[in-house]
Amino acid sequence: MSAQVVFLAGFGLAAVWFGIVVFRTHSMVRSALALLFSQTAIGAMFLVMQAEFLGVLQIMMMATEMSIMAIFMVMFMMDPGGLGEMDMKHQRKLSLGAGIVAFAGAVLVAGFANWGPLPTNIPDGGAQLRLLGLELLGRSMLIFESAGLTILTAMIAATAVAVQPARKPEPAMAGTNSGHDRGKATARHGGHAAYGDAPGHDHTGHDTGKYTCPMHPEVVSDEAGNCPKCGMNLVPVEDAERDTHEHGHHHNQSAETARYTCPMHPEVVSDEPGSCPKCGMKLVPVEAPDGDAPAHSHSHKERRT
Amino acid sequence: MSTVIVVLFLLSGTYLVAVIEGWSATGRFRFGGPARAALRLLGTESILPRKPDRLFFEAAPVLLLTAAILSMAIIPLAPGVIVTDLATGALFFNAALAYVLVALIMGGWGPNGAYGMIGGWRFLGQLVGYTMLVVMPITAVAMRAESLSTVAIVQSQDQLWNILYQPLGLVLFVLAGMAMAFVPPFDLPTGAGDLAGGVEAEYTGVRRLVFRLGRMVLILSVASALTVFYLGGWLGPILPGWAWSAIKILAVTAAMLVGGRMLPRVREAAFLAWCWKLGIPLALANIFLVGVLVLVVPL
Amino acid sequence: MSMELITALTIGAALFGTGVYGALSQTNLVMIMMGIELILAAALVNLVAFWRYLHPEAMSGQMFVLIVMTVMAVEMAVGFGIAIARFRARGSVEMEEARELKG
Repeated sequence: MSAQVVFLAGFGLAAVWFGIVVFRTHSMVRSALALLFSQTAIGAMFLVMQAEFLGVLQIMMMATEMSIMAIFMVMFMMDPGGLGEMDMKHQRKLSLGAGIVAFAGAVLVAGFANWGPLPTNIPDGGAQLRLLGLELLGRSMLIFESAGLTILTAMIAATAVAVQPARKPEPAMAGTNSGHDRGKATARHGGHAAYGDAPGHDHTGHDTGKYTCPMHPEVVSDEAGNCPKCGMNLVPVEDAERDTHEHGHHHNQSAETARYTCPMHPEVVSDEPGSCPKCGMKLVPVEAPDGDAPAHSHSHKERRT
Repeated sequence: MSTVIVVLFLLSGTYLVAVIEGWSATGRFRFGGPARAALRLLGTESILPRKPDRLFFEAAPVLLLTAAILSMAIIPLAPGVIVTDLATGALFFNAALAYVLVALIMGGWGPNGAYGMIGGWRFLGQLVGYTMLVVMPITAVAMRAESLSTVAIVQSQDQLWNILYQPLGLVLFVLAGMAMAFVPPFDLPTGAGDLAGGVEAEYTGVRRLVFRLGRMVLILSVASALTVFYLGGWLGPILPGWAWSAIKILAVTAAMLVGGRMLPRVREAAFLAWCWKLGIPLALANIFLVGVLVLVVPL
Repeated sequence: MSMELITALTIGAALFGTGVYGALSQTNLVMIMMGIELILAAALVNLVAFWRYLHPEAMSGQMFVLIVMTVMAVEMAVGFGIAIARFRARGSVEMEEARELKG
């Protein structure tokens, strides 16, 4: 049993163990960092297999990529610390079965194929680098150029998809009928798929169409842009007074029943907007039986689906 | 033997970097300063935060120190004095220092405190900016040397140091290296006075000592890499190789630390904008220029 | 039929199985992407093993590894862009809620 087999098995088992930890731990940041260490162990396997450049490259790239995944986990997950111990899995038996079938299939192919004799003449690190460079810029230049172009396209596409679209300011808000406003708001919501509101933000606030700087509240502008004092992005001004005024006008007979429920768990009812503790979906307002409310909740429902 | 020399260099170099940093912050050379600070930190009570992520909390300073020490493994101090002359040495340097990011993220998230966590994410923002500006100048340097091995890179500067051959790359690498070692003006992740010290805020006692030690080794490592890539490593007329290395590394450290303090602290959002809009086009132009020079000029 | 090759291929198979389990069992888009990263990493392990133990003189094996690494990075970038857009529209990236194309 040569040293290579021992090291390969050691690093490989570490990689698989970290990979399993990714899906068993409740803490999301631990999940991301477990994946990071799994990829590092895989990079170490590359080094054991004498692919020096690939091993170092894998270790370097994965440290950065998985850390970025960690910050995305913290941004998007409900419970990044894992203290809530929520279990967010579905189709358990199917996925376990698929995993085992995949593993068994790959092992069977590996075991029963006739791979041939083991070569003995491996170029050393420096020679490998030189040969790889000649291959990249010689025979495989077209492939590598296409890969480069693909990366550039992907960068532009991802940025375009993720960039917050500039919001059109609303023309006249003062004193308009709230039902009419909801209608206009709905049209605007329906028009933009990613309409750039703050995530998890409850939609009871109306935008006055003005923008302000988070650090300089005296800076108020009619359109989105950058603060002239510090350069930060301007954020929409939420007009709290007008909102409660309009809600008061709208709900004065149902003020005590302004509740929120989960679309998937109707037994979950809460007095304020947020996320369902069972499944994490956004809570939607309960339909009230009076005349005004169906327009209100209907417009919300239209947004929800 | 050469490993022993490198270890001795690490110990003395780290101490001198701490002295220089003290000088840049206070204006006075106090050779006993780091020793006194270390003894003080050893004696300070270690306060544990409430409900930390224990694994990350303990591992972060150790990982920072380990990553910085590992990155010194490919720095040649004199002909033949190097821990390991990897064929991909310049890339290995970058790979080892990528774990500084992992350490800071762990150190930010582990103590379960808002200030530390924001400090950690700020460093991630800085990394997205500086990482290209470290790798691309290294690419240009390796182009001239026709190898990624650090020994070959130093030997390629026989006739002319890279500081004169590729000054644009040097400027970018210095700025990116300072951001990598989070020294002022890029010290938003751990800057005193902002977020109560950022990532360092929740660490006290021995752990803070290890964290600071890791940071000193990191500064030493970045300065060493700069001398190897741009200032000709051990090359020089009269003195022996290791003396030239030491002088150059300490001079670069002093320049980085003193010069950095003269600039205001840079927010990571502004840093990102500058890096991606100005820095990367300049780095690509640098690679192009160096390529033309390598093919045309017989140096 | 060398032990080293079999070991490496078995590890690759185990990583692949873990990745498939993760990608199918998780509801959150980011966790599904982690499963996909594991699947691609398993493919990388197999590729390097085949290069090293069957054809070490052919650098196109290493070239293939670089292409797969590129694919991993590209997939992460576009996936996170989509995740941000979805999060802005819906407030969560739970794939259980993403059953309809209607916005």
